[in-house]
Amino acid sequence: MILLRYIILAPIAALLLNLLFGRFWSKTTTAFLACGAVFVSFAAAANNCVYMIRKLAVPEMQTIFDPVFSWISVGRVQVPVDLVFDPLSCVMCLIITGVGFLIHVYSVGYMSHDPGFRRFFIYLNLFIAFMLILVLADNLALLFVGWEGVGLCSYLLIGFWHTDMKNASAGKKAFVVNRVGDLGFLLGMLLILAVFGTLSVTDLRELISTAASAMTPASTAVATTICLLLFVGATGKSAQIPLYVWLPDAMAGPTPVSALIHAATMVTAGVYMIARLHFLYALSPVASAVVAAIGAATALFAAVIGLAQNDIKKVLAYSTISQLGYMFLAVGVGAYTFGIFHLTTHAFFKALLFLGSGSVIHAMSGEQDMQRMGGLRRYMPVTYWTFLVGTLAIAGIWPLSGFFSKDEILLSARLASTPVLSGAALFAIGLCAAFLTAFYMGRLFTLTFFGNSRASEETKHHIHESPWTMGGPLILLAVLAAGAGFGLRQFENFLSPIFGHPEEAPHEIKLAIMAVSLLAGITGLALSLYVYLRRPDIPRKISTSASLLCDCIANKFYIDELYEKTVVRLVYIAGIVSHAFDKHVVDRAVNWTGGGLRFGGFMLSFFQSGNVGTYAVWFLIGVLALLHAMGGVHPPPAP
Amino acid sequence: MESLIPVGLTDLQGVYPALNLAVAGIVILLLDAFFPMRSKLLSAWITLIALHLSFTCGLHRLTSGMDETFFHGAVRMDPFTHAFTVIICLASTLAVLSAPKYLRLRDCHYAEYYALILFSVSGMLLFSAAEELIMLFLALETMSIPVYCLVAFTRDNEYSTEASMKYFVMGAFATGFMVYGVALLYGSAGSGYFADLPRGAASSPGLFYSGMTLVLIGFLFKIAAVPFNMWTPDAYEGAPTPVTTFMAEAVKAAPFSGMIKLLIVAFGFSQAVHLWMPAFIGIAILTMVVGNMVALVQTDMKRMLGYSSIAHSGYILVGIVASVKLNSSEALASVLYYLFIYVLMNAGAFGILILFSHKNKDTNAIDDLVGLGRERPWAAAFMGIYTLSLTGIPPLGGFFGKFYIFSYAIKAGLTPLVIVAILTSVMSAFYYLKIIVAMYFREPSDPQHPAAFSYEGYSVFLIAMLCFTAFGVIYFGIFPKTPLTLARLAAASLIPAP
Repeated sequence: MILLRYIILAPIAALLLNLLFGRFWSKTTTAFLACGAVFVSFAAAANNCVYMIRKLAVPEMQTIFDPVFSWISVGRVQVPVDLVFDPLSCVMCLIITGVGFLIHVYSVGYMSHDPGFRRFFIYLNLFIAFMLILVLADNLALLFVGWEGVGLCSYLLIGFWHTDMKNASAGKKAFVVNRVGDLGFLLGMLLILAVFGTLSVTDLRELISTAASAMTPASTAVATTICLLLFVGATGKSAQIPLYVWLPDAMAGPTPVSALIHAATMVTAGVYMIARLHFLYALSPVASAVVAAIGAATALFAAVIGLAQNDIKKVLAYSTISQLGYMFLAVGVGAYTFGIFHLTTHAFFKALLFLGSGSVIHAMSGEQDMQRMGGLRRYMPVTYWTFLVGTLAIAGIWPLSGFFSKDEILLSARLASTPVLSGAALFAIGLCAAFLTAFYMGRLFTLTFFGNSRASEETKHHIHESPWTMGGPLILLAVLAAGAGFGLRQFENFLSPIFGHPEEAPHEIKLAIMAVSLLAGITGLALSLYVYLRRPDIPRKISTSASLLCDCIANKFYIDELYEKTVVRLVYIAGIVSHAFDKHVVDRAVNWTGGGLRFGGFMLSFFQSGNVGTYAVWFLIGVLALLHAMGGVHPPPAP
Repeated sequence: MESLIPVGLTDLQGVYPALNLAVAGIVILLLDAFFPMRSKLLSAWITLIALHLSFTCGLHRLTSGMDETFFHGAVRMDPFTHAFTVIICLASTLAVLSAPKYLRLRDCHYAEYYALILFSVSGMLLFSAAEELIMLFLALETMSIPVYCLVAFTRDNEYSTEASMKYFVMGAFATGFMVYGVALLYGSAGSGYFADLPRGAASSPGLFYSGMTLVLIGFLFKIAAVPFNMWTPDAYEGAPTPVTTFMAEAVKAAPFSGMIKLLIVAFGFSQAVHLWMPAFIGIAILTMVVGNMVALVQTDMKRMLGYSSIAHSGYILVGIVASVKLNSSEALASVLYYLFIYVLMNAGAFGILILFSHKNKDTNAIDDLVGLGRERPWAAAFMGIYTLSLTGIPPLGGFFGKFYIFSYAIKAGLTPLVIVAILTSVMSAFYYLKIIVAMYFREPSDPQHPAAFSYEGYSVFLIAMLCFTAFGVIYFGIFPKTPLTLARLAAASLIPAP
């Protein structure tokens, strides 16, 4: 067993070294340190994982606890920095450090020509450290530190090429939208503190398991409020309706960042948080139902928008939003295990897809528009085959991993019944989304790899397969994305100390759903292949005959514009008013005070004439005053 | 009547820390006479070793809790004295570390420098040990006279000699008052021992209280309390920067030791306290307000730090008043902790100035630091740590120093005083942050030719000093337990726990 703090310490040490001394050594050393540190974290996490499975046979004992230090101690509020390693954080740690390591290695190749090489790896390591704090924290306050920290890193990395105004404002948008969510999270957290008097998840769990029997309607209402507030935070971080708008813009960052932060790890923090607090959500069926409904709606909505995007990364971004919707659907209907399982498989295949798209963009000299790609199959075999695996996995084709996780979620949705939407409705929405997913992924794949190249001669000349630092991670991720589905039963067992064993569904329903979801995937893929390969005139016809609808979809239902006109405008007006107040009232008060003090100092400094005689006079005045005050002149009567 | 004062071996062993330094000083002078060419760096090393020996001796005696009197009760080596031995030796070590390169650049690297420092420090150590008025006065003069010479050490520099002259004249002036006060006290009590002095208050209060006032004025002059502060900015500005460092730390801390002892042992009875405490509160307010306010308009760093050191005297006075009022050793311990941290952060700030001082011109103006953050990030970061700590930003030591003092003052019911202290320390943020703004945010006035920062004052000694102080300011801020425990040990010997 390795103390948990060392898992976090490794990337911090590497980033400090690179930050302070990086300019004294070469890019190779920087890269080696950054990647090595993440690998060390991975090894430590894996070591702990093995220890947990082997040594602690008793399921209740499956946690490792590491109290680091006491952080805040004010009155009865205690916020210790305690790290906890249970099966859930174990899974998250392994994903973060494992996928993170592969993406680090990939970045070495991807960023090799970038002047900001060192800065990039410093940010990446910082991100890993914060993400680990987030998942290892036992205390919600510490979790919030990680939560804000990854938000900061996300902002820094989206705007990594900050000289371009577009990237900088995308970073800003992500940050601002996340603030809205964070406010909800913070309120939820404070409410928990007010109600339970503690922020420690372990303590909360015990408190609630003892208090669960004595629930009153009032306490259910409180639980619902807390859960909904926390969920607002989750919609911000995990890009759900209504706060999803930042994620597509976040694609302005370098592609490895999109893979690591905006697909595999950070955006899943909301799902993780709800799974971590599942006992709280279990108290409130309404809140859980809202989570499921929002998740399902997002899954469908984002998939529809994904149909009409031409930027390869934008398609993947909407696909991420849609898949995150699936995860929320799962945790909303109580299928926490499958939510986390989908999180895991999604981390593999979406990281793979993003890295593959990065490889494509790298080869196409920065071109991201699929309309100008095509025919890349011949030039880039490694990227092609691995991308194929990723596409099949996300479309839910047996036996790739996406099939298993998506199928279980659809099954759980079908069997659930929530106060907001019935199980059948949730299932139908999920199924539609699955079909659309397969369709837009097929479209992306066809446009990119099949057909004839539509690139300019100049670009065509440069097309090349990527170096091994990029190819290696692709292959490894492809293996994971293909095979991870077979670990489903072990995964269930592993997480059972936290979530319990899911109920076994009736056999016939199970089979039927499997068949339907597989069918949706296959038809989606097949249809898109047919349309975009054989009959490219169909999309064109649709877009002319139903131009209004197509415009609407292509412009993302004008949601950005709607927000711009309502929320942003209001905030902007409020900003102008407060600015005027600040400038004319607050600033003047401050400036006058400061000016007055300066003037006073200026006047006083005249006494400092430099003339010893003057000094002596003041000295004497002081002596006389003191003699007078201290009774040398009027001695007090003796007692 | 016995012939003169018999001095035994135990007496000499008792004052070992001071004696050791005096002997080292004489050795340096002799060495310089015999080997004039080689004595410079050697004397620096001898000084450092001697200071180190006294330091460890003080630390050892402090932890072992030694408490004995020597020379017929004229000198008392109690934990309070040992604590000041430690602080003063540390402060002097830091000042000595910053000196060699600076002096060599100005062609005045003489062995006498170190001898003078050592003599002065030996006076300081006796100062905190004195239990008798004549002893106190002798120690005070032993401490002060070498400092007058040190201020004029770069003798070709007219500012330096002018500063020394002013300092000396004002010092002599203040000493006159003090000696007169000593005479009055002796006259009233018939004895010079601190413990006997309260007798005088009963027999002849007029003499006694006048004497008390005059003696305290001597101290207030030394710690640069308003209105006896006029010498400070001139002397700080004119003196060679390593000497300013020495003055701002050791020469500042030592009078506090004597004053605290005198206030508690001799003037600690209630009638005297009722007289001097209101006066001290008034002086503390004046000192904090004037010191901080005038510092606002300074453009010269040394002068500004001079005024800031006046202001810090004000904060320390608040602490002293609070601990006497509470009669609590804990409160007094916070004063000692504050002095310790103050020594560290001030030494560091002057150290950076020395690091960039040129052969012909000191880097003193705030404008000289423009662009330091970009050119020399490490040095700028260090300077940032010192200034933030002087401002009192957590988690640095300066914050906790102020925090402890102010919280005890509130406990003592001195809330209005604390409000003034906090307001003035907000004011102080303005001029400390000016340094940070200059280093990091201001564009050079001539962008084509930004100032070149060369480490002309670089030496291994100085770097060691900077690293130690920066580390100390951070470390002892976050983990104040060790210095606080030692300070409590020391304070408990002066104010026994009730």
